[in-house]
Amino acid sequence: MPPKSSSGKEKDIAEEDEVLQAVILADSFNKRFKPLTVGKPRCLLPICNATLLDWTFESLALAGVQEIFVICRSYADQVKAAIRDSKWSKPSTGIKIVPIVTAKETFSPGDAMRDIYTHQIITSDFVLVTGDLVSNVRIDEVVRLHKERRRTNKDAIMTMVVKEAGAAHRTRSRGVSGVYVLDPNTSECLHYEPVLGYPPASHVTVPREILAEHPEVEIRNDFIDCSIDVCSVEVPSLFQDNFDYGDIRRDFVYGVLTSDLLMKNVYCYVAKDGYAARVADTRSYDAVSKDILSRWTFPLVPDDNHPGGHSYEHLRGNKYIPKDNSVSLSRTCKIGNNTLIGPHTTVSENASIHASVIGQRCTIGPGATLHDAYIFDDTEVGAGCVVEGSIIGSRVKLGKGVRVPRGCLIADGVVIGEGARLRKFERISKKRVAPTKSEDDGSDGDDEEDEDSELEEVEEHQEDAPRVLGNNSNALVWPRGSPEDDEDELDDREHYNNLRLMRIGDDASDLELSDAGSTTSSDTETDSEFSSMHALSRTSSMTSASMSLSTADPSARTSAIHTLSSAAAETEFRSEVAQSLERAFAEGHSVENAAVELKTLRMASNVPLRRVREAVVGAIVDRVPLVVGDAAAQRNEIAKTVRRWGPLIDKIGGVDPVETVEVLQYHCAAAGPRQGLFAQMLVALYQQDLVDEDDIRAWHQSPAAKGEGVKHNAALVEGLKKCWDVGAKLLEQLGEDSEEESEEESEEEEAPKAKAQAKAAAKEESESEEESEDGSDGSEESAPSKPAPTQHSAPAPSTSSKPTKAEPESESEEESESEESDTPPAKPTSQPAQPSVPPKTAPAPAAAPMSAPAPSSAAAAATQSATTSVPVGAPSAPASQAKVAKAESSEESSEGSEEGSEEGESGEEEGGP
Amino acid sequence: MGPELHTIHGHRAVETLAAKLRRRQVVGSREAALETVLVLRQVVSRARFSNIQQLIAIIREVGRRLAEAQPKEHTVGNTVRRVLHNIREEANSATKAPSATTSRNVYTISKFVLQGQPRKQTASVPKSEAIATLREDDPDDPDSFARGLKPVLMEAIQDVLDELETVYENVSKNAKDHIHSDEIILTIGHSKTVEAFLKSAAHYRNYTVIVAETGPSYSGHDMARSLSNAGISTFLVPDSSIFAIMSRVNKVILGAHAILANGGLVAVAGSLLAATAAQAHSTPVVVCAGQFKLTPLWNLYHDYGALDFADPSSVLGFEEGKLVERVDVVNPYYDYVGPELVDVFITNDGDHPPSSVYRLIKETYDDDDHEL
Amino acid sequence: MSELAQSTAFDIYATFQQFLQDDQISPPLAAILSLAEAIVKSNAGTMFELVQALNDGAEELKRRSKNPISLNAGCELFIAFVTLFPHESDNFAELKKELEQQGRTYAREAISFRDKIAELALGFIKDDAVILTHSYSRVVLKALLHAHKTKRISVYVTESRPRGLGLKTHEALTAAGIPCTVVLDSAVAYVMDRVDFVLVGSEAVVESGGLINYVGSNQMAIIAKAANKPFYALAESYKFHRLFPLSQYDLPTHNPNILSFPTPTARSAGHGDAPSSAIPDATTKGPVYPETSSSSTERAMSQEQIAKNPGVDYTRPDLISLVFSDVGILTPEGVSQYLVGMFAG
Repeated sequence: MPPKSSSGKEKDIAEEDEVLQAVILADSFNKRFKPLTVGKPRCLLPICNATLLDWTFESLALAGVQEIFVICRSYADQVKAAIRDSKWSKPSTGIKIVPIVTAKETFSPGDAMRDIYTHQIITSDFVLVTGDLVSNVRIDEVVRLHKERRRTNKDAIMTMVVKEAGAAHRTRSRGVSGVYVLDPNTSECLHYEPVLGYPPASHVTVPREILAEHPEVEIRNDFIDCSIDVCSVEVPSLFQDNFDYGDIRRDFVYGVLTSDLLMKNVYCYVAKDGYAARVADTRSYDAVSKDILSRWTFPLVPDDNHPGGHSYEHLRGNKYIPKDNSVSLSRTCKIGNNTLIGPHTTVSENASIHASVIGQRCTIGPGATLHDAYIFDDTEVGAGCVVEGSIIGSRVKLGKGVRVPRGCLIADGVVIGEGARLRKFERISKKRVAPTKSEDDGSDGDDEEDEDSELEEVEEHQEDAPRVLGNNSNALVWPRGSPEDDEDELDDREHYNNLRLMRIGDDASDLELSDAGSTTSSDTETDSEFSSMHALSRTSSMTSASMSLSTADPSARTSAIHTLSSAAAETEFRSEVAQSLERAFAEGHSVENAAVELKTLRMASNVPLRRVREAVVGAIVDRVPLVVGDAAAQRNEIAKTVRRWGPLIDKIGGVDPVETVEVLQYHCAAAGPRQGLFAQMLVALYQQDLVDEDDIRAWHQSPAAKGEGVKHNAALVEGLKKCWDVGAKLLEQLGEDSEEESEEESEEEEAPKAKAQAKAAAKEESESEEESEDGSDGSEESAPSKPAPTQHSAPAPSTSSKPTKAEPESESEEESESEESDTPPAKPTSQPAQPSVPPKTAPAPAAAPMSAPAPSSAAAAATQSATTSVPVGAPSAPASQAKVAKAESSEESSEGSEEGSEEGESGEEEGGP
Repeated sequence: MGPELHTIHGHRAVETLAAKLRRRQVVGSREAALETVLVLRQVVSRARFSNIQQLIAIIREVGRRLAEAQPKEHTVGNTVRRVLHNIREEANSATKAPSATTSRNVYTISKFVLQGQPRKQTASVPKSEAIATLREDDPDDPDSFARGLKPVLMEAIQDVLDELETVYENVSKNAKDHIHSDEIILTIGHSKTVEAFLKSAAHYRNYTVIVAETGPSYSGHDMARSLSNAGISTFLVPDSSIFAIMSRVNKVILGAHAILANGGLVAVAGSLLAATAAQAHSTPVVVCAGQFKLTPLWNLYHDYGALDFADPSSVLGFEEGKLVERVDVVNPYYDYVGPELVDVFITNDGDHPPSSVYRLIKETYDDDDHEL
Repeated sequence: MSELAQSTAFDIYATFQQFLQDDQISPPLAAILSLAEAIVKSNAGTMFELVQALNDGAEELKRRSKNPISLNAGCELFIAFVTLFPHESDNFAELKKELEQQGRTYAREAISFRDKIAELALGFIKDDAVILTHSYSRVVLKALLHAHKTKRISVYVTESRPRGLGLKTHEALTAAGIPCTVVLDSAVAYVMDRVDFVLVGSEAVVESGGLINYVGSNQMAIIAKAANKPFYALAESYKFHRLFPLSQYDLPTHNPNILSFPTPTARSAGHGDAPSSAIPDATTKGPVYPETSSSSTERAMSQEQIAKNPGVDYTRPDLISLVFSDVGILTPEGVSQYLVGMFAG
């Protein structure tokens, strides 16, 4: 946390009636509207004859926002001009609008947020929206809730507004959506998983701990992401800290929720009434227009509160005609339902307009047919033209009899010759007049440039243009995006096939939206009550089917990929950590600095916390100079080192002494000569209060500590054993009195005695462990379902909670290792454990869900043991709310992973009654 | 001809109210009316004018602005007209009645047709003679007129305000004469006026109210709640059963959103159903409304346009994914109930048959204000 | 005696007729104008004499025109005005001059009344409206043409026998490019369901708020009421007539000849068996002579048959939705208010 944010936090909790600020990201950081957005920012595209920006302002004004910052990048001065000329700049509106031009290098919302941070404009909780929002949700209400939450919980940094709607809702983006895991009571967003339309997602991974910690979770795939976020002041600073956050949802939210470094919570506001949606792509442009025309956005409707200030008259069947009789409709023209006709437009004889929006001052030629067409201002549609499901820019001229089939985008000023027949999904823009135009408006220079470069590449393939465009046309045909265009450099959301799902008039029925798994879908689809052409819902039916069976292959495949990537990441990470620590030790940095450095490193190559710990512990151990013979001297050395650097172990984020001990054990066991140091190190840590007795005990219980799961590499096992015994001994002594440890380690070689003691220790342990398990269950089981046994009382809670933390860690750990050194997964290894200490494995499932969710890299472990597969695109609201109680969670885990089976049973044993 | 809005003092307040109206943050006839009066008072108090025409032009401009902001809230326009009317009266009595003095030389047939026999005019002259007069367009001190007049104008506006504030009491003051013991009253929607009316009647009479739940807004639920809290025996029925129940009902009491010049009214959706059912059973239909709802408009497009269409989500949940695409959901907010269906209007001054609403309006507003 | 000579020298009816040449001028206006003329011509020296002269003039006009109602409205208005005109001027000649001026000015501005009414009516005419009108009326025509500028309207007009003035309307509208169809007077009920509202002009609007108009309006109003269609009447304020008819037969135009039964003639005596009730049928075409009706396809009423029919009829106020006038849009009740204002002593 940078200090600023915290101070800011104080501030906004303190004063209540401060101005409500809003930030509009007026730049869509993608090209989905090309070529309509050539020479014009997206937020100035009209929808229902008012620019998107106006709709956004209106939505915010509705919420009583007093100060709005408009972050604009491309065509900034156009945006500024638009704001200046709009009614909003009038003082009487009581809204202060500040356009902020960001650097051209701003390529993602994340960059914009960092910009906001550097501008230091945010003084309190603020509303973050995109420049293409249409909403009548009472945002002020959301803000109120947010602030209330903040008063109790300072870590609630963000509230996302989402709108319930079926998974297949027209207004819901098919291309980019997300699965939300909510706590229905607190409406906290526990987990967020971005979902792409293509390649079709079949599973989401929900960290098992969520299911453990929350007796009831909702897993929703039926939300429209309104991209209205009420953020706290520290949000921009978070972006600042995590320079790799690009997108707000898939990077920021996902990052925050999965990270165990920044303990922040994100909440959702499920807008029950009210409407909110963003025009993120041409498809949603179509949908939102329709929603506006059919008055879902009331009172933001053309005849009541039109942001553009036009006044329309609402006629039977949702037809909107300007109040001033400026429109001239010929007697024989047909105006269908859900149609909006702008002022001063002329519709000639026998023209028929249906479910379309016509701009101002347009001319619709005789006999023209418009269906789901969106036509901007000053456009002429020639006689007998046919336009279907397309968007046509302003000042366009369509010659006689031009056919514009589904999905075409025609940019401003295009002229299309007589009788031209466009192909579906044609994208057409005007030829550049002269490439000199980048001079005249300086600030847009580089916009123009990249545009120019774009246009150049467009100009390359114009071979078929004349045929398509008819004669005397001034237009360029854009390349029809194809799967083999450069995918690697643009991120997969902008992948052609995914974009298709966000394209107007494209039902993508031909698109192969099924993976190997979903070959079954075709038949499950029929019986799944939610059969539709919809990609997600289709795959969902598949997964919901496979849920009951086993989810082996898809998860396995993904996990494999993860492992590879992570393996690479980790090796390089190790070396880097080693170096940085080396520096730290050498130059004697403060522990804090060292810690910060490690953190950044860790985030750079996103690896689980455990790796860091290993590295640190390892480094410290290696730091200790070996003093052969003289035990006392040796002890001093160790003490010195640990005193100096021990704290670092807990500074790296997340304190987990048990893990520490375990790591120490493994490290010593591995490092031959330094094995002897284990005991002393342990003691030193103990003295430094880095670990306490319970931790050691817990460690001692863990199967990992006894070297389970490490078959290959006998030496290691041997070493582990030794260390374990030592630990046992130490424990025993701690049990009686901790003074005599001094002479203990001098005679540490005599194994038999130690063994005997260890046995004893182990025995007593196992009992106390029994309790601790129940205890642990009790403590985890927030559900009243299980009557709490009496013996939970004194010893249990303290002892229980920590060990349960430890074990799963070790477990998932050993699995991921075994994964890497592709031995058959943990199942066999965990087998021998079963007979040896029956009661001990029992806690495993109960504990397993607690395992800190390793971000993607550790997903190997996750998918194997700590994963529950959840249908993506589950049917609309009721169906998709998977109420997961504690008991099932362990069951699901058993389904999720082969080896979990007996855990599953044991899980039932305890979770069942 | 009128002054530009932004030149008017206090136009900020006007703009704010206009925005609120547009965004439906001020809803409900009385609410809107009150807000309007307050704004007008502010405007008048700060207005600079040297003769009454200027002031009237200013008010008209403001009025137009507000009325255009939310044409569905008729009471806004009504209030403006009312204020204009009062202000004219005050001004005329304060200054010499110009019509009287000038009438002789400009007296024409068309005037004769409009104003009837001249005697009426001359009658008013001596009265105005008596009052000390203010000089308009005083060259040396243009503000003198305003200074002299403002107090009276404030009075005039205050009257309107008072009327609005006491409207419920006045409407319901003789409720007990309309409702008799053991009667069964049917009402629909949650009209504050009707609520007050019924409650005040409940002090004297012991009767039963049947409330139609008034989907899709279900404001009937609130009505039923508040009535039963007032100790009135209340039934809540679905709208669909209104007709069936009507045979047992003694009176139908409706609230109004606006009363039109032809004696018809605009009321919450479902009122037409109730009124028609009542007619079929020849049950009397009583409408309770303050006079500020008298609207000098005709039943233009009363099937569409003049009525309000709310968002469909209360009829069909937005989450009904596919259905939303396939069906057009319409959610009309008001009904137009024709004069032939109404027996009497109970207003804050007296009860009137639909046929005399026309006359009321003529008295309440000046003809030339009908178009703001 | 000299006065008489004066009046004979000045033929008021001729003046009236010649004013009517201008098709902008409707009978009431013409009447007012001619009365204004009469003022100048008359040598009355006192108010009383003047009024007397005017009344005589009005009488003569009424006597000589076959449809006195509307012009009568004009006369009454003007005379009432003259009698009530506040005059302090000592010079009577001046007063006469002024009155005459008043008459002319009023006639002049009265021309604009129709535009006013058309504007008012426009608010009630929706886009794509289908309108039914009756016979021929300048003000209705004006309203329709005005509406046509901004709205897409189509019009049904009744033929309105026997004078067939509907055809005149039809020509005017089609010339202006408004789709217009002539329907039989007897087809009004048939067409009514297709119609959004009915728009008629008027000879006069009477104190009850009722309407006197070319015959056929009444049945149209009744049908409109039955079909729940609005029935709007357009009337300039000078057509407000201080009259309170209770039935058709109270109209000044009604005379015993109208609807009278012919006395049995030899011809009908030949059919002594024929019931007397069948006799009116005998005069019109009817089932009584099936063979003849089959023989000839086209039959028209004879002049005397037509003469037995009323020229105008009276429409009760409860059938009228609204009256559009230059003084504003009125409910039928509203009309009386003005008449009372003018005439109620």
